[in-house]
Amino acid sequence: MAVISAANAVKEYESGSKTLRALKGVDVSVDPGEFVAVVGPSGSGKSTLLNLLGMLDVPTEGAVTVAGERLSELSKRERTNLRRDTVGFVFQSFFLVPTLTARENVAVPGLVHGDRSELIDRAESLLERVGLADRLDHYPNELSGGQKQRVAVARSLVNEPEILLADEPTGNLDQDTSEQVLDVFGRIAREDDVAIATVTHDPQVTEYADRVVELVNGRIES
Amino acid sequence: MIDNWLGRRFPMLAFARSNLSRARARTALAMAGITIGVLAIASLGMGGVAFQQSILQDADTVTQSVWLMPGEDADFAAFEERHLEEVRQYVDHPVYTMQQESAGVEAKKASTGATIYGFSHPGEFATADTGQIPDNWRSGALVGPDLADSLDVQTGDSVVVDGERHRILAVLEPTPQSSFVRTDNAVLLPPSQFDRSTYDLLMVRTDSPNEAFETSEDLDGSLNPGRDERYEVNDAEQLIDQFNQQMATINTFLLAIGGISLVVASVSIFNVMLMSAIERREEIGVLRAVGYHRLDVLRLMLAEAVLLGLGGALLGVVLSILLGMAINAELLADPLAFTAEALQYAAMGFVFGTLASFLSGLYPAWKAANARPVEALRD
Repeated sequence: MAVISAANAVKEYESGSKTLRALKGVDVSVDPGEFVAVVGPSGSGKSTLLNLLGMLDVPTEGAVTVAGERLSELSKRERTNLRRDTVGFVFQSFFLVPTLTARENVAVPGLVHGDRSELIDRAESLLERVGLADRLDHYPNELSGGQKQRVAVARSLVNEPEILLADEPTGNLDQDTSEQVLDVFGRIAREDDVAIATVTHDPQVTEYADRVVELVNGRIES
Repeated sequence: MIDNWLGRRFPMLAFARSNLSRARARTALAMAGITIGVLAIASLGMGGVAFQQSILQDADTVTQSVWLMPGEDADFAAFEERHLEEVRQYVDHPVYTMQQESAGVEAKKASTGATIYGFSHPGEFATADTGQIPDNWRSGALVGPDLADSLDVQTGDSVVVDGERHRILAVLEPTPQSSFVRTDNAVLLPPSQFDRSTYDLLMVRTDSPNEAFETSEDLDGSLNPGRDERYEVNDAEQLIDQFNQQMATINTFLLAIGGISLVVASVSIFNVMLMSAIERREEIGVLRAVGYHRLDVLRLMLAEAVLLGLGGALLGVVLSILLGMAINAELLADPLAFTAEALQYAAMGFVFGTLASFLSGLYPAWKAANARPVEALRD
């Protein structure tokens, strides 16, 4: 069963008197362990789709289902809880907290809920998994771009999500470091059965993906 | 920072503290604002209390005394020995006598007019600058500092009062502000040197202001049993009340000034928190994306504001206690002479400082918590 899916999803934005139709009925679903790349020119609605799948936004029409729960039936609070438990985010500009070490940055999502006794240990083992065992106590400004993004990936995994949503994860990285990050993605998908959906311009990403979805002008082309 | 003991216990507090360390100068300045506000409230309050105490302490000769004069309905113009006896039979405290006249005073080089006081116990009314005031005296004179100046005399010289020569036993210190017998321009003589044996004023000296008020009431009842006022009995109760009331007004005014500086400080906290909320928009968006509820973000931002307040207020209290010690040392001659009231001002400054930061953190925190994560994350 798909871990996350959108059915006939429409998203409209009001801008002034005009209504902007960013998504014009999109069907997409991602299975556990699957690595899906969403590509398309800018303005095609890629990020909007990612926001819908990540429950950061709600569709104007259509349905989004995450882990068997229909988004429209959840309160804001329940949506935040579901997002916390099932979705991890990775962003183009990393968004690490500059005053926290790598280990602490990874632990941040776990600070507000659940059992914190294992949190720091889990953060360490995740950093080891992304190949940063020797960077636990480094601050973001002591890390390279690729290392920062791998810290961000570790952070997105700390709540043990079922799906990882990545918005241009290699957008700020060069080819070599991109490769390191993509390797990590591939390993997580294979070993942990975590689904990965990423929005990208980067042809290198599509090479790693199991499936490529092309979005043009708010519709899926292939 | 989050993975130490404290962080495990209070992760949000540790997180908030780490956020504050991001812009150290800004954090320090915002704290300094609160520190100044708390310092203003606490030290102005403490200073006021210490000043009030020092005045009352200086004035203890007045506040602890009851003085008697012939009343409206008296059949005598001055007290005689029998009146003194009458008063003495009602009180356990010492009763002193005072006589007052004006006379010409001459010395070797100059002469002038002055007040002449006859005191049975001059040590109770004045202190010596040079020379010594005798406990029990029958001869000699004490001279006020201004008069000693204008006559150009000092201890050991002599002055002539009404044709009688007296040796100067001591030159007095300037009269304190609060004293009601002004001896600066006066000669003090033993009662035996006066031609008359009547007294213009009787003074009962007790051990505390309250005792003085009670004694005064008792004496009034005992000496004036009927409706006639043979003795006019006075104490400083009204005077002290009036003084305390004035001090309360001044203190309120001072606190208002302190309050204003605290308001200014909260505006700066407000500004800092708002700026920080705007600067960290994306980061807060990420927190929301990874499962922080709005309430979690609100708590985080409020924790930052309260930490600013606590830090600033704590420093403010420490500084104002130090300043209070300096004020106490100056006014009360004891650095640790804090009264409960003075410490209350320190506590009040602390509470107000922290509360002000909390309140000015509310809106920025609310704004940060309610920013929609999608918009925050849109680059």
